[in-house]
Amino acid sequence: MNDLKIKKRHSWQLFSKQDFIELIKFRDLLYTLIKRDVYVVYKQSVVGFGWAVIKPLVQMVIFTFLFTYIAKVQMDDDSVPYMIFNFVALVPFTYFSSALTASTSSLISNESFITKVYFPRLIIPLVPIIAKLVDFGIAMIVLGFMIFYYYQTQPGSININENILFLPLLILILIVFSFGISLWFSALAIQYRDLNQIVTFLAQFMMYAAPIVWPFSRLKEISQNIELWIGIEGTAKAFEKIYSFFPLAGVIEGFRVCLIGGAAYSSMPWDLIINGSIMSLFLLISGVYFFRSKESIFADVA
Amino acid sequence: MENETVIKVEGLSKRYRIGLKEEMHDSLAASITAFIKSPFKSFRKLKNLSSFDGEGEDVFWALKNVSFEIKKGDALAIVGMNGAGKSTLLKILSRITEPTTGEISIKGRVASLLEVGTGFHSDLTGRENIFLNGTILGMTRKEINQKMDEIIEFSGVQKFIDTPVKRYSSGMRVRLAFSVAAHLDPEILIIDEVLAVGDYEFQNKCIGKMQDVAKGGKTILFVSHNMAAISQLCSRAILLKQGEKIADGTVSEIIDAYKNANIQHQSDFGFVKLPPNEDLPFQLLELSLKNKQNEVLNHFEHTEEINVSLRFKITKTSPNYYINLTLRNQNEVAVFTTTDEDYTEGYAAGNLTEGEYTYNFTIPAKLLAPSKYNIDLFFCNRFYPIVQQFKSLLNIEIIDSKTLRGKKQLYRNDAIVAPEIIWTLATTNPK
Repeated sequence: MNDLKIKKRHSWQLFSKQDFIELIKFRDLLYTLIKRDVYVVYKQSVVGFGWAVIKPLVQMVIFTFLFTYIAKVQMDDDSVPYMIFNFVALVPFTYFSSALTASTSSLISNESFITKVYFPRLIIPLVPIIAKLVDFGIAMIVLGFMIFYYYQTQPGSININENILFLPLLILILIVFSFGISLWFSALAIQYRDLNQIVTFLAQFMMYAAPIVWPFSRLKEISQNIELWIGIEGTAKAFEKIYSFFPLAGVIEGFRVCLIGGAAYSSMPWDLIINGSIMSLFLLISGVYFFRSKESIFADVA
Repeated sequence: MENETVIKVEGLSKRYRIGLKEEMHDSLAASITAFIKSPFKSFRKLKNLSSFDGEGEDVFWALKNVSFEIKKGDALAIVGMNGAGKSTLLKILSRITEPTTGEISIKGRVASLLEVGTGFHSDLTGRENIFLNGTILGMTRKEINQKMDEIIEFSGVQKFIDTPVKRYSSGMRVRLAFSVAAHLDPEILIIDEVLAVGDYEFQNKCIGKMQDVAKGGKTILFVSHNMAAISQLCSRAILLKQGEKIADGTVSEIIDAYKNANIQHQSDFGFVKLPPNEDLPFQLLELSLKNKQNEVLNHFEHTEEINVSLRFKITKTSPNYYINLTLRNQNEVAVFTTTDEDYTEGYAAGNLTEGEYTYNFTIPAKLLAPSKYNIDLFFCNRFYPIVQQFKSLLNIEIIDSKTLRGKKQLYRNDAIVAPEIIWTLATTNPK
């Protein structure tokens, strides 16, 4: 029988093998909490899981109306319907924003656990990250139907290709990015409740910052405009470089290549994907360490 | 292996920062500047919750250099007034919060129950909540599946097990929650006053279950104000006062030490002593409850008499004085009321001269039904406002473990009195 030592942790002891073993030991708790989250969201609701579909669909309809009739967005390939172009991006983004919002407030809404029971705290922000995958899966199925519909009725608009094999990799980056940023936010939110407000703005900001309503090819134009405005040479290049580290850009463009294909989306945007993965991994690792360093005070500040 | 140390606590301290009083502003200009500055101030305040640069006046030590050891199979009670640091100690032991200094080593699987029904979700059914609560407390799904029938059986809510918990009464929730906890089967069990819930019958069931756990060689750490439960369950106790351990010994030693340490608040002991108040003409000094062996207690067997002794003082005489003692049950129903005038001739308080006196009387055995009661005491002056009144001055508990009746499941257990009524049998129609 091994002794359990309880004392103040030093910063270099933030995540040991012991912690990992413990995390595995509590997998059943992770499972029941995920099950709870998935069930409870749509309990006593008429449409139930339908909401997972309705939310991104309604948004897509609004965007399609806005950006094809009111403010026309210049597309790279006019044979791709705006609806598909937009919905392919909205599905992963909706997952990201709902997972981030739920995860940020997760420690606060589960305060009663934190002050009354011990278990590896990392589980709490992880639960919404996994639970929201159910909604994501449902939305993906609807997306599949839409793609199939356009494939049948508008030949040439959809070119499914072998790049679809990379889809799981893109989803993994999406999950890692969502979890990484959520670790930072949830650990901060329990002490500074302002984060709950900030995260709503941030999600909205990211919605327009990511190439969801506008095609990624417009980035060059945008960055050149910024350079003109600032007036320093090289700003455009630097801006593009920094932007490439925005994981949602790689994920969304990747989704389009996988699921739409055709002339405009013929090859995987590897530089975006690689830089996005680096950023996501960095956020995840630093997030775990930050979370663990704050963990010991959760019960005291909650 | 029997005397192996399973918990060793060394030099444990815990520091908290408490919020300081808000500043008040008396001018509009001051309020406006304060409003503009407030985000910075709030930020500093929130940040300070977790950092301790310098020992300000808002730093508070919840525990100071506490050390003790627990051997395997011990049942240790932690006793102390509110704010003595008991809950903080349990929180550190259950790894909810980190100590500021000091170290604990623990051997064996720990389960801590600082609350009944942690994580219960009202939209989920009883069965789903058993899984949720069980896994939160550290059980695996496999273990829960194996014990599911037992858990449901013990809780007594079989009929509603697939109904959402929000349709449960609060009592049913507690039963279900305790039932999960009771089936944890850890090597070390840490419990914080969770027994203060549920009806009397269920509380007894819980104590019984915990006694079984204790007898099974498990180690128990128990925090409670319920001295009856402590003396039933524990063999050893430590006494905390303002974060420091001031005594360590057998339960009866510690209960005595606790009584002496807290003159003001002993409603848990069957004993109250008040400092004399110069302004009152007629007042209570001391009230105590004793059993036949002259032990001061707050829990009695159903078959025992309760000897009440009431010391009081008169500094200004009046023929209108009298003393009333009323016993109420938990539903606030008066079970009986008695006064010094009922059967006394010549020595009722109204006839006495200045001085200190003691009244003694006995509450007969085999009268009160096993349950909990409160004693109210009134020092009255007829036609005038009451001189002194004490609501729930003492809490007492009647236990029935010595009669045949107490060992059986009763048809009704909400009766107020349980007098000794003996049925005799006469055969009227012999075959």
